[in-house]
Amino acid sequence: MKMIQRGRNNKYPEKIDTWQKSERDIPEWLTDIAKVEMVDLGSGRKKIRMNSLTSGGVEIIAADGQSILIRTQGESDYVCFGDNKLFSLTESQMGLLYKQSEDK
Amino acid sequence: MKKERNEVYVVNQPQKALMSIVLIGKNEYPLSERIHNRLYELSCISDLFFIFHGEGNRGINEDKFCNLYSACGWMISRDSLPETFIRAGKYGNEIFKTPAGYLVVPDVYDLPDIAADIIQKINASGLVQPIFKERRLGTDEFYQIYNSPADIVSKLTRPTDGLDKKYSIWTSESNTIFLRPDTFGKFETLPAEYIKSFSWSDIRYFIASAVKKLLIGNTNSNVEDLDLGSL
Repeated sequence: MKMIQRGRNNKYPEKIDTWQKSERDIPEWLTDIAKVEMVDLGSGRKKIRMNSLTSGGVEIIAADGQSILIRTQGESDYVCFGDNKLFSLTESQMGLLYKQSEDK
Repeated sequence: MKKERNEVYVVNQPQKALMSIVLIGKNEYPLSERIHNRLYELSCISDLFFIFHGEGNRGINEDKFCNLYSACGWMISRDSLPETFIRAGKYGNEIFKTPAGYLVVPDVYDLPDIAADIIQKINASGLVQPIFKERRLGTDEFYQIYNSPADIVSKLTRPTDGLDKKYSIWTSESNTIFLRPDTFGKFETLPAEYIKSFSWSDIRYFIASAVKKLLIGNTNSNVEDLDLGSL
């Protein structure tokens, strides 16, 4: 999902792409940097390597297959990418910093 | 730059363990030399965050104002001051994550002399209760709220009339109020109807009434009068 900043905070990118664990499709910006485990030849859908955490969050493994690319804490946390920065936000932080962009 | 109400505009990232939320509701500029100097003193011990409300921002460039006073950010409130206030605290808690305490200045024009050492000692202490002197509204004040001539003259009252100031039972005369981050978290749990009913331009009605409703308890003392020996 594409999001745009509410108000202004230069510590965070103006526009970001996001992904949540509950979304079935993994966006290209994430499959480009994460360890891809499988590609569905029919749909072209990619599956990335990640470990589920007891907190409900996930650890996404980097393309090298070893290091952790990003870790989220809770079930509904967002993985965010913008201005070449990868970071995670809780649902509450997302509501304070970003709103849905009209850009497709 | 497009300014959206109830959104946070960050000018400088905060660096201190204390954040001062300063409310500006009147359009009386330039600030007096006395207030101008007190804001400087406050900026030395805390990160300033301004909330402009009511008439308090007409013809003012908020970004320049905040930069000149070395503030970390600002918001504009137009509809519900408590909603804006709670959002400022939530932003401090969840995005800045720096404040261990908040010093609320309900009206910049009543900003008292800041005893920096007292405030810093309070902030560093284990005290969790809000600090302000409480006052229950008097019978005349209650009457001003529940008196409804519109009900006699016409049945055509606005749907919001029944809610306006309905829960305003307590207030405070303290010129500064000290709150911990956790108190903002509790304010968030209040129903929207309750929060919106505080249509006063004075945030103290909301803070005092909400603290009572949530059974948080408070010191019932002004910040400057607090017995520091007990901390």
